[in-house]
Amino acid sequence: MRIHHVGVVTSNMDRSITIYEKLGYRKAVDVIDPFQNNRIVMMDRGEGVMIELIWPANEQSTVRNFSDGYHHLCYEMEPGEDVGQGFKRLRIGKIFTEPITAPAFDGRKVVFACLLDGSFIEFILCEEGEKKNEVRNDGRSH
Amino acid sequence: MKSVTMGEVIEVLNAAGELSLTEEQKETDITELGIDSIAFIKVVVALEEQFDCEIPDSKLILSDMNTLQKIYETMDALYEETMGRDNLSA
Repeated sequence: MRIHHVGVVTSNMDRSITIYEKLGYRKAVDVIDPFQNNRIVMMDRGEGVMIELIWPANEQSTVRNFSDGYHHLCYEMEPGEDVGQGFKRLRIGKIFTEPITAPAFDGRKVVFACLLDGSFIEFILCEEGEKKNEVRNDGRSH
Repeated sequence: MKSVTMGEVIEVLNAAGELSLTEEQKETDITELGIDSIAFIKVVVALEEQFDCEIPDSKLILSDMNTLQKIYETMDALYEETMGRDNLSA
């Protein structure tokens, strides 16, 4: 697996986009996630690891109780990697969601885990025969 | 799995949930003290680490574990269940 992105909660999306643009990133994906009730903007600098800006879209948002700033680290699984049993064997935390559809990643499934230190990580699952998500240079995901 | 005491459950709940509950408050609804579903999962992970166990997903319902007493009872029942299973397989 590899690091895919760092999730950052923001209450001011425009300001956050400007901040990361000044750091050399550009907006690659901008979607409303109806499953987690967040607006998601992926900021990319062409170096592999992206910044995921997460803005709570309503009262059901999964980040409604989080302060602005770092929220999670996300790993993308490789084909054939079993996140469920593999993670359980490590005994470093617990996966606490069912696979959730992620519109920001072309509808791929993700799960979240809480680690023993109380921090969160996300895994982008790679189902058999599935191509991994990549962001094109024209700024759109596919 | 390790045996469960109310004192240890209080310690874990207070540390992971950032609370300051005492045994006298064992019927207090922790959701009214700010424990939401995310804080709850942190408590669950801390309980699993403390008592060296895995709490089944079927028990991970906040409304069923929303007081100190209910958490203690859940953990104690899990311990009894684990011990029973171990005795059967011995």
